[in-house]
Amino acid sequence: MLHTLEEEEPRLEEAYENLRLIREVMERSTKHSSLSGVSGLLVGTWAVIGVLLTRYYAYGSAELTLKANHVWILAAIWLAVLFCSVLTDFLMNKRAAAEVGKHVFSSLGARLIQAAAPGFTLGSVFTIYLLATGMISHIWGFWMLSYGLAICAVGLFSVRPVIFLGWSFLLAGAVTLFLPPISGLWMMGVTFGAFHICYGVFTGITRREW
Amino acid sequence: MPATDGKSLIGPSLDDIDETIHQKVRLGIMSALVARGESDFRFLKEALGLTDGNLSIHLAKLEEAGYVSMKKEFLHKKPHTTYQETEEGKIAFDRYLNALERIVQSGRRGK
Repeated sequence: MLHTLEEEEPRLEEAYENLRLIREVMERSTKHSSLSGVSGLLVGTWAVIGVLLTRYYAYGSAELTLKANHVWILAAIWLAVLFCSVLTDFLMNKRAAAEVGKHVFSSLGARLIQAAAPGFTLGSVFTIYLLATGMISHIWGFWMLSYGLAICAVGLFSVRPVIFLGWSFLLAGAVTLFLPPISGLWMMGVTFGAFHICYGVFTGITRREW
Repeated sequence: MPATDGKSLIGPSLDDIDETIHQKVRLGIMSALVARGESDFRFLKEALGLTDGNLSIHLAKLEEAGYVSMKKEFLHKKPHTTYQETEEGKIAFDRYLNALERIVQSGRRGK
């Protein structure tokens, strides 16, 4: 169909306007917090428990350095924290999905897992490397950086506070790398503990997503 | 002066494209369904900021065109209605996006 030049401008403007509308609606429709208020509170609590258990069972009481033979205690504690956190978030997402009659394994869920995978893979590689080279007591900053990376990627499909949370972990991780190991452990309490709890309270209050 | 006796050679126009999808509310519904997949009435209403009546009318038109399918079931003993884009709806949405893209490209070439 042929059109006069006078007709072109409004058509072009309308096309731009409709493309904007499509983009906005698509963004709004796919974004959700991924971590609800209760999830944040519980995940933060598991991390704080993990920090306290590590402090009393994996660190020597006098020298405050990680004992070589306590590496497996440390691994067991943090694998348990990871398991409890993943299970908590899964159950909370399942509950939220059930409320609207959706299955927890949605296409969005699959995308979130894909987005988080590189960060978690990096964290696992760092852990194996530091274990193999006997530098496991420096793990804390690397975990924060890897987790921050995963959260930033998830944030692309999620609400703004998730991206903010991801960047907070990245910055805290960068600082922690230069701290002594025992300070790094306390930073674990600040980041994986307090950051998640603050996020949980903020999400619960502002977005009413408990 | 416009070329070719007052007509330009800009091909596609918004007149060429699917009126069912072109309407703003229905375009919003289709965008939400394509992005999110199966969604319930409440979600669509909140995501698009529509009233029950307005949303119902436009969903009915999309259903009539065969672009959207509806599923009614009971959830926690309450009726629950969900909507999903059909294969035909996905094709129509893709075609609509292509048409918009062509208009934008033609506009850029014309500048």
